[in-house]
Amino acid sequence: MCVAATKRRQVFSGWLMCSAVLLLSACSEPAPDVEIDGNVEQGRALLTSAGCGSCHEIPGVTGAQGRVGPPLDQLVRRGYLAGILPNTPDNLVRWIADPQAIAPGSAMPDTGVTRTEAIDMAAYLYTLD
Amino acid sequence: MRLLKHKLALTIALGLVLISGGGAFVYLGVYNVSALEQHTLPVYRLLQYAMRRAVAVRNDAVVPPLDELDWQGRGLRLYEAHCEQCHGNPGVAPASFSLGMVPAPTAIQAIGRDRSPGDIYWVIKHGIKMTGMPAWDYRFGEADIWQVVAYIHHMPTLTVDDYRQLRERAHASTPLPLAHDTTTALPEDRAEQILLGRVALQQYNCISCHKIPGVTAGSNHVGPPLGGITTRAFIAGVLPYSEANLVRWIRFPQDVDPATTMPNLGVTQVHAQAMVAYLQSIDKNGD
Repeated sequence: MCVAATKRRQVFSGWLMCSAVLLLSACSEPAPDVEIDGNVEQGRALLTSAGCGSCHEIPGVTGAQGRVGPPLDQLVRRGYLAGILPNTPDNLVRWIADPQAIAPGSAMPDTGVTRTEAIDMAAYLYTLD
Repeated sequence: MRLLKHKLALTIALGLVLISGGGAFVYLGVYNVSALEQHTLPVYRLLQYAMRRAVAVRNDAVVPPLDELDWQGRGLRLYEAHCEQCHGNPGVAPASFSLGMVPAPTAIQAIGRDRSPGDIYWVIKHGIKMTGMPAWDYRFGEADIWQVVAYIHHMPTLTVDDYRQLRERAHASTPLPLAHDTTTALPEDRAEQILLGRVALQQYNCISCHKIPGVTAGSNHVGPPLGGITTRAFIAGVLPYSEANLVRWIRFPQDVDPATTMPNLGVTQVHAQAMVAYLQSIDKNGD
């Protein structure tokens, strides 16, 4: 009797989870897959040291609460960078490395990061979904 | 007691079956959304009936004397410019893009004959979800909507020849471009401004590119999220934030930054101000 009750409970909770998943699968769309060969941890450190947080809210970067530019949360889902560049790894690296070349007069300054550093930073940013 | 327990168990089991059945129905995509495959007749009838009932219970407009409106001039011209592409005219086909839509835009003569002016007014003003019928409330004032209603109400008796003659006369007497009677002024009440702005953000399709807190379907990521935008120092990275600048950006983004992908959506001054009011309201509450 007790064994049967346990089995029923297991089946029931299993079924409940499946149904919940079925219904909830309508709720969140997965973020797009992005391929970028950078060091995510290094990128996070660079986002701190380059002062990005003084202008941007960046999840996971301590003190990144800036409200000069847009928040970088869910950046991987964004269609365009700075409203101009299609959001691809190459373009994000270009933008981080040399924003003034792409949008002269933009409030985003040249931060002096190298291309390699920009790749790492982009790699971290693409984990924010 | 045993019987009650059994009934309870049965009810719960039935409920669970329905929920999981529903979940499976959705997840497995059982109902085909292809416009090539017609609805089953019961589903079609149910949808039509539900739609008409939803309109009927909300329709409370006072119909003005339609004979006194300029349906042969302004009404005809407005209809021709904005409605004919989907609903046609006597002897005039709808535009090719509207063919094959599900549900199909009803031929205008059937609408004029079968629906009451009050219903027609409601549908023009509010549009209908899940169809191609947009809401015109944010694009036309009341007076112009009634002009179109008057045209639709009178046109079922026109032959093709009648219509062609009327059209010629209307073209001669009522030239384009027509000044839309958007008598909407920014409401004085702040809460009304905020509501106007929230609906405007949806009506101008801002939601198709931006994630906007509090606006359903405002969860797209083509552009940056709009939550917090009135607390940020710069708009689009180039304009220092101010209410006037945000209105300017909303209305004329390509003038501010020719390289931006944000298009000019023809947002009116009043609607842009209302949008700013809404965005300010969510920033006050949210963060």
